[in-house]
Amino acid sequence: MKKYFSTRYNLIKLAIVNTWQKDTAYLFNNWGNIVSGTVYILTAILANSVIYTNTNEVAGLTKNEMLLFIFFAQINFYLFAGLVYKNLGAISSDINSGKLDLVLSKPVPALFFLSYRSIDILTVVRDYLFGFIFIILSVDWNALNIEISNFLLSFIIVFCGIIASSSIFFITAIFAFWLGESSGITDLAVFTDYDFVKNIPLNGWGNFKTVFLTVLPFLIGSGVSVEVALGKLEGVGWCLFSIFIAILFLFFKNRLWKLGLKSYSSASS
Amino acid sequence: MEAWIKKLFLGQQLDMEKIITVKNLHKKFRKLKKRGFFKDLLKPNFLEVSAVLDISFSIKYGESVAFLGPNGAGKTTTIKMLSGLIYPSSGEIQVLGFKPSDRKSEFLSRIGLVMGNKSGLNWDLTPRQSFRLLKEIYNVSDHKYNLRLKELTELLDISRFIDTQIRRMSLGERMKMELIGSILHYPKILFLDEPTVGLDIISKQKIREFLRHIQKKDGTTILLTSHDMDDVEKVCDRVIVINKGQKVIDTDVIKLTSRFSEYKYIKLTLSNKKEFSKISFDKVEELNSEGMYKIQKSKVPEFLKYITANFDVDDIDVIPLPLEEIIKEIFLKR
Repeated sequence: MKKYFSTRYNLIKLAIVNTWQKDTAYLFNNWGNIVSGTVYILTAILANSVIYTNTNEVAGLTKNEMLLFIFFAQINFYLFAGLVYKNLGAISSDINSGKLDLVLSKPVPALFFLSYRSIDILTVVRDYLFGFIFIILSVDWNALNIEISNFLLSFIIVFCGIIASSSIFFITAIFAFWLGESSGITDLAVFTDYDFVKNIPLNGWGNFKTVFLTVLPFLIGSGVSVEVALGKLEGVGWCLFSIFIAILFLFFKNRLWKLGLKSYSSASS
Repeated sequence: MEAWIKKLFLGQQLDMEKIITVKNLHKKFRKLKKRGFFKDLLKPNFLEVSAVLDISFSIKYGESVAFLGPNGAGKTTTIKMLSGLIYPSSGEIQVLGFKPSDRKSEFLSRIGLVMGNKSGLNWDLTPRQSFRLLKEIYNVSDHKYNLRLKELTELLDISRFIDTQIRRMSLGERMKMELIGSILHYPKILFLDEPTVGLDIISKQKIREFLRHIQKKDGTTILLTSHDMDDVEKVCDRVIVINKGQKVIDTDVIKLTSRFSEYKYIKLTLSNKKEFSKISFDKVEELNSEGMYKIQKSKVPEFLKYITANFDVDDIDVIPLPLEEIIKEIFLKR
């Protein structure tokens, strides 16, 4: 057990260092993302103000609560961008091109290594810091009356949501073992989650709520976490549910990976 | 004294042990039989194609073995099964006492893999940065790592590129770095899949010398696939020829060249170049005052007698047929 965790801890450390080295090798790349990241947040704040000019509540959230929801949705996105995005893009092409050989031949837990080989702390901080500051400043924190315990629980739920969502994305990427290429399916899953489900609060989903909490649990990271933070949902119960869902989807991901490896044909030389 | 004798004999016994045992190995791939987009979508029809068909062999510690055969013969598939990358459809494989497809870390930390057409080093990083990652993955101590890195970069004459981004290197330099990355951890077995593909002659020579060196010095067992017969002749002692997924020949490189070659090349240098036209044997090529003749092995003494008796000869050289031609002969016969 000790070896299990120490190996993974070391791989995370190495991934952070290697990604940092790669990012600093191209220091002048992507400064434009700072502008787009910041403008995106400012637009969301502005749209929020416009929407609430004629109404006090949308999907059960007030204007200030909706800003908190945007705050949670953004945290989800930043974690996705920093931890998942690049790794996800590489996995399907590695299976397709046979580059996976060079990972499979090394004494590392391959799926874990592939899932976290790139950890983009520098990119995330550089690109999204200004926008994040704007969203923090736009929320009237005193008016929200948030209990610290609920706030902490909501962050555990965010992490569980990220684990469940990324497991689903990786499952779609693993289909490349059978289909040869699956980036289109992965793009659809990412789009459904980050451009669609995570941007609409829990109560905006009506009957679809159950689907997006169980079959495709994309709502956990933003919809559920913000409701727990606000004390509108019972914290401990939902936290346990989120942990269960995260473990379940991790299990599915691992099982499918093992099945996929048996079908791996490796691109010929 | 007793302990010393035991160690000596046990050591010898271990040297005789087999590092790889393969029995009745099969690998089948499923391929979609194309019949049109909608038919394939609604009712896909799959064909089973055998890439490896009932191959058996064993390899001893420290041997250097080449897998030869035409494209699609099953060489790379065999190497991939031996290194645990793909699962066999049936048959038994034991490598270093492990079943490769289990991919146990104890097994993976004792093998190295180089693929000529795939890069394991990060394009955006320097070799030193990538090697550092490998050092941690393989758990090599700082002392061993520094010694090894110095030794290998000096041997391949690429010390000066150690802090250059991989993407800025030539193919030859990159391949040398790939080789270093694959043996930093002193693997017991090194799998090489066309390691010199696309390289210039000097890089190829350097890599061949290097591979021989680590085989002799570290006792590394080498398994190589290549279409370059010079790789095989310079690096390997034994050849396993595979065709259509089946083992055709398994023999020493020297035996192969002597047993399967029915011809020899004879290089003649005559004092008078014009006399070549009087020789009643077909020339393969003529260059300045030298002529190359391909003569049946049994007729070589007769040919030499004829030449020395009738012409003013400056030099005669009897050259065995290159391995490439021997392999071609074997496949033509089959």
